[in-house]
Amino acid sequence: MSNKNRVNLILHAHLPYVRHLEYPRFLEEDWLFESLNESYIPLLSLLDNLDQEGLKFKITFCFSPTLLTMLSDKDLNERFASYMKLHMELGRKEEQRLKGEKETLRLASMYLRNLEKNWKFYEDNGCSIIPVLKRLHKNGKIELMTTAATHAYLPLYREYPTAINAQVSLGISTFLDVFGFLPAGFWLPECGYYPGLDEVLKKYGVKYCQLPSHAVISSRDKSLYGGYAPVELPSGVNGFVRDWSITSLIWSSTSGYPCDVDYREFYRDIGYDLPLDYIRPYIHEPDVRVFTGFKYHRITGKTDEKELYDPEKAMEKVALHVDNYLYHIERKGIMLSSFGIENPLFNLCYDAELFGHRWYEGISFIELLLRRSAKSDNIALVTPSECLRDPVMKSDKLYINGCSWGRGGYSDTWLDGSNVWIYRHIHQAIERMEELTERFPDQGSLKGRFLNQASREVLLAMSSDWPYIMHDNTSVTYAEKRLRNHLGSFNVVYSSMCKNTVNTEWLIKAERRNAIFPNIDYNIFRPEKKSQ
Amino acid sequence: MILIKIDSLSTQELRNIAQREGVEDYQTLSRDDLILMLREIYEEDDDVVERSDLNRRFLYGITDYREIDKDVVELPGVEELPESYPNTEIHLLYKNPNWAYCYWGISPQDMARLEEMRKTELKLRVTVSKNGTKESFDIPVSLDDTEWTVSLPEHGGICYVSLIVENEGENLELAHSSSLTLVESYWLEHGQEIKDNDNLFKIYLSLLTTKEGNVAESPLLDEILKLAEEGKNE
Repeated sequence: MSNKNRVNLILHAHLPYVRHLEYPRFLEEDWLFESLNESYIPLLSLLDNLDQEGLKFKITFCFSPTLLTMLSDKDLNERFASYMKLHMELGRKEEQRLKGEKETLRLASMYLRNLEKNWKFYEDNGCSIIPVLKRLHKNGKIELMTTAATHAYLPLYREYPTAINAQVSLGISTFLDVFGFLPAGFWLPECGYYPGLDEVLKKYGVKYCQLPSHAVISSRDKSLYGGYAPVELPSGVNGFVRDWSITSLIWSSTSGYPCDVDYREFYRDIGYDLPLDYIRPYIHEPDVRVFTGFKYHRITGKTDEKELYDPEKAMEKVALHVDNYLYHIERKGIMLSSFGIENPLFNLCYDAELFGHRWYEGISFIELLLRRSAKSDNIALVTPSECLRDPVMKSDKLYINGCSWGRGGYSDTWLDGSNVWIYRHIHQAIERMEELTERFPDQGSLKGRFLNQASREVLLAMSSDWPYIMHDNTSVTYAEKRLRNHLGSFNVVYSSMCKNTVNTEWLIKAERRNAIFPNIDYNIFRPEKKSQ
Repeated sequence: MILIKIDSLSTQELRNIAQREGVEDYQTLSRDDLILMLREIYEEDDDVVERSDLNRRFLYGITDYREIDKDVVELPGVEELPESYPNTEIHLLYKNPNWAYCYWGISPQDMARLEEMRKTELKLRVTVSKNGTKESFDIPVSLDDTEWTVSLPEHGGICYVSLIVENEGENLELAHSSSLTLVESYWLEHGQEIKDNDNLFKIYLSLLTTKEGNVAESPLLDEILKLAEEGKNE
């Protein structure tokens, strides 16, 4: 490879496992449907088109095991179909309502067209995005990596090797079940790393993970490449260090591109603006106003007098922002070259849902970024595996301290006043799960199922999303309820098994409700297995 | 709770939220009064800082309707979580380079013994072991305490905490935690080299600095940068 700036674009798609078939519609299931309609489908449809066009590009994706499970779920798929039909109906109703308002009508039609296009793409691929991921991977356009089974923030479970092993091994086996091959990369949830975690990853055949940006300057060893080359961790697993400087051009909540006044305002939505009688069928019961996706205003500025969104003007800004993004990469490349670092590697990690869902123009941004990179003499899009195979690529051997990409760079986000109480209960559940595996090893039939479900409940309780939501103060009631339900459910098994009984009613309902990791073996929590 | 910057909402949106919150004259209140009213309603509940951050995850709307999620159906047999567990144990969790969090529990049997003892004092002993030497300090706690945020005195080495009962001059260890490996940074240990590595530091900082010149937040990074600044001034 000639002297180029190597860009490792890594998109992480993750949602907590939310599936409430006991309700006709459930508020938090919208997280999945909105992400599908606004991010995953348009993004993959774009990449599919670019692939068919013959454009050369490379992106790395991580789809979390909880998300992959939901994407493969027949019932949730049917609900997504209903969601899309309902929103297309709203689009047609909006076209009628806005007949006299040319500019707003144009926007309503744009959303309706998007919905129709997305649904067609989805249907054409057998009502799933997984075949598209497989196709793009087969065609060498995307690399796929996995993450922890329920996206647990691993540093806070370091005391429990069985739980760490369970998170890593089930993350890998779920990936294998879906894609048919083993992943080389493991996305550390929230970039949460602790010394020794790499040894666990290595045991499961992982070749690389990603690391937060401050990991290098604060490491125990002197880095020579400052994060612009892979970091070889003590186990030999490689870490790709996130470039905070470049990623913040988008991420920054104060000055990132998505804050531009010409971009669409995320928070102005007809779900809140229109009279209840009109919007009622498209929001949640009982009259709970939610986003519908029909948003007609641009950010405009710090004012409530929002102007109408102008898609053409927004696209002009996208072009400017892509140029600016590439300019910053190239300028850094020149600076690094003057310090003796050739072929620098820029690891640009983002949440996939940022593009399209939270930042409406984000999909167009990616399209133009890929197109311009393909033509650029100075930029080469790469994947982590490709970097590791490249004989020119240098690396730093470093001992990295515990770290994350959360506020402050450590565990404060997942261990603050709002959520600290949860660990006493989750740790206890892990210890009790270990105890159950020792007292009741290799159970078959009903007891085996009972114990398997207990291990699912423990893993679901470990999800980083619950403490994150508590910290972020969004759907706190739901997060707390979910956590208590998983732990309480685990306790049903623990108490029953202590009496050598099985609560069959609970088991049947719990298996139906939390239908994740179908091949789980509760013995994964057996402490003896930690050295295997 | 309003999840975003309230000023960015339209007047109609504000009216809809006010209606939901049971504000009687929501239709006639001015925009400013609506904002004032909603701020009062939500700030009474909690001290939420409004944020209009696009990077916030898991939003389904502008407000968190606090009641609707309370009805998530429970499975048969599920009970409330206990406040404590019947084990005597202590756990130490790493929060950041300067702080750790510990929680503990005392079994009913141990608690009964403690209550029987005269002149009993419970304390948390924080021990840091580094380069073959051990240093400890004690934090007095009460029998009702179950958690503490512990200041980590230094970098490097390992740290653990023990739950100690002092009874008539004698110390008895009830439980001790597993050890945390404390951060150890090359540049904190080799501060004198920083001034000779100006270019390397420029490389490091280029990864961590926004276009506005803001450096990523991290307590350890702050310490290293302070050392670098002091080195320059020497």
